[in-house]
Amino acid sequence: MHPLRSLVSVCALVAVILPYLVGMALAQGLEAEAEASVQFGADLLVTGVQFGRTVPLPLEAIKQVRAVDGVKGALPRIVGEVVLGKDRVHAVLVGLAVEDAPAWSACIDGELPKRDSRYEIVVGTGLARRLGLKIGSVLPPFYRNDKEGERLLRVVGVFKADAPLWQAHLMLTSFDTAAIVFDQRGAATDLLVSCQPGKQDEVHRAILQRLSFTSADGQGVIRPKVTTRADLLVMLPRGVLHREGVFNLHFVLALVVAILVLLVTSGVGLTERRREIGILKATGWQTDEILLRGLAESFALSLSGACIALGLAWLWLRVGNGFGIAGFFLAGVDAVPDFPIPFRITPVPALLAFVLAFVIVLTGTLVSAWRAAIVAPREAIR
Amino acid sequence: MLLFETKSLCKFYRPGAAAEVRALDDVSVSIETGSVTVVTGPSGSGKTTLIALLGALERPTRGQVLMDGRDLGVCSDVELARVRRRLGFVFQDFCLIPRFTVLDNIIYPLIPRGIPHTERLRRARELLTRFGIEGKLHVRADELSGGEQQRVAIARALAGQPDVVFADEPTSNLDRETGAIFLQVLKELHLAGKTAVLTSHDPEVVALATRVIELKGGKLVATPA
Repeated sequence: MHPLRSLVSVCALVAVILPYLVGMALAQGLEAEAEASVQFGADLLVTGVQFGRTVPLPLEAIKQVRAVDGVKGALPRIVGEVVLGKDRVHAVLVGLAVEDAPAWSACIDGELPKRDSRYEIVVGTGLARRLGLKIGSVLPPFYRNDKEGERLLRVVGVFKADAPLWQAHLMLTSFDTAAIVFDQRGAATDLLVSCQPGKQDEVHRAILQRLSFTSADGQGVIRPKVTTRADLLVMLPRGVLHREGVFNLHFVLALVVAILVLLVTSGVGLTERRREIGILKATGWQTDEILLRGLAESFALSLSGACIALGLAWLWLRVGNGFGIAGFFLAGVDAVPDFPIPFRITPVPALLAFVLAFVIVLTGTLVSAWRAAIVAPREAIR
Repeated sequence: MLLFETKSLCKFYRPGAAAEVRALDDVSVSIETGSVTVVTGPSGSGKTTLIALLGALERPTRGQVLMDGRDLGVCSDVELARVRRRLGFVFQDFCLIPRFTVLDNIIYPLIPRGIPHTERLRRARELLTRFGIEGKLHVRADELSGGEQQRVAIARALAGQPDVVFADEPTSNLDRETGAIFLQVLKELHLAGKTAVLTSHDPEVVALATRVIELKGGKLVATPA
């Protein structure tokens, strides 16, 4: 192996493969986290549909859903987007009866908003850092409510840094507070329905076939729309896959450039290589034996490149916490994420990276070796 | 017994072009097994081209090169590689692989010959000891002096225990000591019944020849028996 050529090839390979491995590991990590979130969530998610569009449900729907045979509980929830501060930071405000969701408290520093209290919030780590919030901080009014007026919101808790990443730009509050913020009393964006074991399909059918709700103005009819856990599992990774697709597109463009660079670098020491091949042929080597040697060389180079890239990818994600690249997959995340980025380095991308490296190096190596090996030894030596 | 025979052998470079070079033009010679043949002639007379064609390092433009009665000009690439395994070359500019060690330069040609690794090492050590450079086994070829490189080149040519040794101006770049070693090797080859084909102007080498072929301007001048 030509030392300089080998070094240049391995460096070029690492430069190509590393972002790919990191990107794929992030996408897979996010997908896994999305799946885990769904698994631990409600059995069914009920929303309303009017004119074919998703609309809030009237609170009367809670009673009707709870009355369905097989339903263990139905928790109303308000989910909406708010914009905060002069930097117009986008955040998701979730309002629900937090004491009915004890899993939240495990990942919060401070306390959850109390049922009867108003204007108490728990904020995500990303939001807290961006707006300089901590427990006890107050948030100036950022909404309009003509009936109740606008109030300060007090931070009573902050999500822990190791909590699931979905909390980064989240504000968690009581159902009543969320209703005031969005000025939508008597409505919920959705219901989180838990079912008795084995009754999920039955409840699903019953809600769809038997229930309908009257809209807040008493004129229209709102039909229920039920999303099961299985539906969510299919839907949630879609966003991740979309970003993965965009990332792959960028990667393909980078790859084309990289292949060209590698083909050029494979020409490093070409004259010397041509002469070497001529000498080997003059001393009894056959063309196929020389090409086989090139194949072995390519295998060693690509394996080295892939292994180094794999190691660096792990370091980038584990130690560097996806520095610079995490924002590509996670909206609203800065270059330096302030919470642990989920990642999974799986065998398929790693294997694909190796195959990719092998093909690239092989193209560069074999083309030059072939061109030198098919001429007469004396000509190659000259 | 006839080992090599050339019939109206021609080698033209850039044939048909205005700048065509007729390196060899209608050369017919024969070389017996066990002979020491020295090809002489002025620079550019076609000496190197003749031994390159005899050694299957390139194909003739016209005519034939027969080795043991077999036309090398029509042999496949694989067949020519097998022919070369019966030969040993000492090139004028040594043709060592510069980034390889001395040891690798000697043992690499033995790999396609199917010689086991331990035997390859044994032969390399033996030859290097004989030529007085056993201490340079793991030194890179490009770190050796000219004389040392020539010794390694001779060792490489002999390591495969070839039937025929070709040497292009083997003593032209050598110090006296290395020249003496080469002449001794040549004598031993002759005694062992091996064939040697050399190009040289060195009277000491010519003195060892059993046959001298003289070339001038790519044509045969005289082939005294």
